[in-house]
Amino acid sequence: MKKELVIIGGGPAGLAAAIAAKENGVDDLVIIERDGRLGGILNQCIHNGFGLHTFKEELTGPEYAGRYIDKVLELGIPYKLNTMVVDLTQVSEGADAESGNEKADEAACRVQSGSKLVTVMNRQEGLYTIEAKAVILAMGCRERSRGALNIPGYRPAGIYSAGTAQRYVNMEGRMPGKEVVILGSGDIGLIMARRMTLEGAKVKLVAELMPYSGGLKRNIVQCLDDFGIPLKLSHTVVDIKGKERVEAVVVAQVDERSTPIPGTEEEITCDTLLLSCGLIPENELSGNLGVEMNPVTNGPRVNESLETDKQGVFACGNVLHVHDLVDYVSEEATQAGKCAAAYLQGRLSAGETAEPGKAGKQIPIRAVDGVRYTVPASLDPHRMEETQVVRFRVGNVYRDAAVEVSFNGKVVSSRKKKALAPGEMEQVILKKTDLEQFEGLEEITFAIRRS
Amino acid sequence: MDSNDRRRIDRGRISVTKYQILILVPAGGGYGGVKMEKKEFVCIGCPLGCNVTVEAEGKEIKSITGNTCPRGADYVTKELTDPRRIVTSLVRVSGGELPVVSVKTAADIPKDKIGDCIKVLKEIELRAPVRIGDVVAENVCGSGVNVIATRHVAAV
Repeated sequence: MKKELVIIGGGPAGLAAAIAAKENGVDDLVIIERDGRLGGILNQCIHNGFGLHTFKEELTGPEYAGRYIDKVLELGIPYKLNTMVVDLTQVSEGADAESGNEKADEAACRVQSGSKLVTVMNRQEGLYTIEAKAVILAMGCRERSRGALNIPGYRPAGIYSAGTAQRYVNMEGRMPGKEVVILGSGDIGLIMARRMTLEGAKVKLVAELMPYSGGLKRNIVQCLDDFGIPLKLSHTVVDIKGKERVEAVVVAQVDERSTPIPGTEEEITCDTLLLSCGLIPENELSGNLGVEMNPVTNGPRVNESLETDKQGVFACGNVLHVHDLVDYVSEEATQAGKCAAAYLQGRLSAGETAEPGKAGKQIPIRAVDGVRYTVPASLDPHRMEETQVVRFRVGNVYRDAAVEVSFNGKVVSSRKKKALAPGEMEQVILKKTDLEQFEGLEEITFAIRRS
Repeated sequence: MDSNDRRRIDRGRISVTKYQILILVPAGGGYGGVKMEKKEFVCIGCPLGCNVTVEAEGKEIKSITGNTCPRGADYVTKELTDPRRIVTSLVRVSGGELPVVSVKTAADIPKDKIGDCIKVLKEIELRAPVRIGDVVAENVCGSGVNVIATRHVAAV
């Protein structure tokens, strides 16, 4: 089977990317979704607060997803459910010169040749391969597991990732337990503290390793404080008691190095431990393709077109970097869809210095002094649109600091911020004209300056 | 660890008792008079998360301190005089592709009605199909607000 564009993942990123690609003239496309319905994790996020930026109203997850699903159906975008992408590779031959544009130089034509092989599997059609000219990675992320956290103890029943518990409760109508301790104060953990409480469970404690919460402020107030659920910062679970079923967890305070402090242990009786300890972009397929990754985000390194180092392979949403707000996922995915369309129509020029495997003259964006990473990680001032949103996270809690952007080490903008926290994604909008007017631009730097 | 971190830790420790520490001070020393209450709130207006302290006699606010901007004052005024929340939960469904359907209050309802609202929803069982926007419960707990479905559940 041949397709112009394959979108891997039918969650918020995949849906918005598909809509944008279709609206920009890509008709031969397909969304591949491994679950039985479109919408991804939004389906289990039944709380409100989605869409404040996009729709100017507070929707629940299923409603937010519903709007995009309706649009996908209206536009007649094909999708496959219960279908798993098992491999993603690129063929070096298989030139498709017709997709090269007259304006693009020879080098650009040559590097556009490699089509992508998407191997998919489902119960009806078995295992087969789709040959795609472009691919959008929209696989989302998954939760850090107990194994990744190295918590000692047996392996009793009653230990769930917060998202698994969320699916059980909100979609399957089952309760994971009655007395709950939650490790990690990420948003899913906070949301689940409220959900479990409303469903009749007793949430005894939320313990957070860091001295600050990873969740949004409103979630701390409306999910914990409203229900009198205690949050202990700088605390972690050091032991899980129980052999068949969780009987208790031991919680201890940690020092500045996140090491448990002896003598601070406290045993808390419970039958359930939920883990909300961070999300990891799900990039096994990107790895198979050999996409260059950013070790900080665990997602692909992308340029201003959200294109990875493999031409015609774009990434958006939580597979690229973990977002707080789905509105920004949709926004980012829309850009990825547009850029994929431009690529397929030969409008995404490779730039004058293009070499095989290189998109063009890319200016690196370096994240330093408190800025952990930026997306995109580089940009081409000639290819970028009039403005470019650069999203980033900081590595610590800052008060009265400034976000500083420098070109070749010269500060070009400094925006004061009353507060910055790792749990809240930040963004700066760069203007094309500013970049073009700066002569000999070699490097852009993002930094946090304390005042 | 800077002072900011310390503040957050302290907040974490007291959060369990935040709404229980109503420091009751007899106003004007008169026995049985209107009592001055002191309440602490964490403003949710922005990432700053100001600790805002409100002094009030009943619902009459005497002072607001600790906020950095007017939004903090608006927030605590609302929280003190008429705290409201949108409630999201589930209602059981029979004969559907899912055993439950997600629901929400179409507008925010008084915070102290959350528990009663949940109780009402637990007693309801719908029959599939359910469509987004279907009214699940009218005027829930006398709040004047309907509870509506937030997803489709197809019949099977």
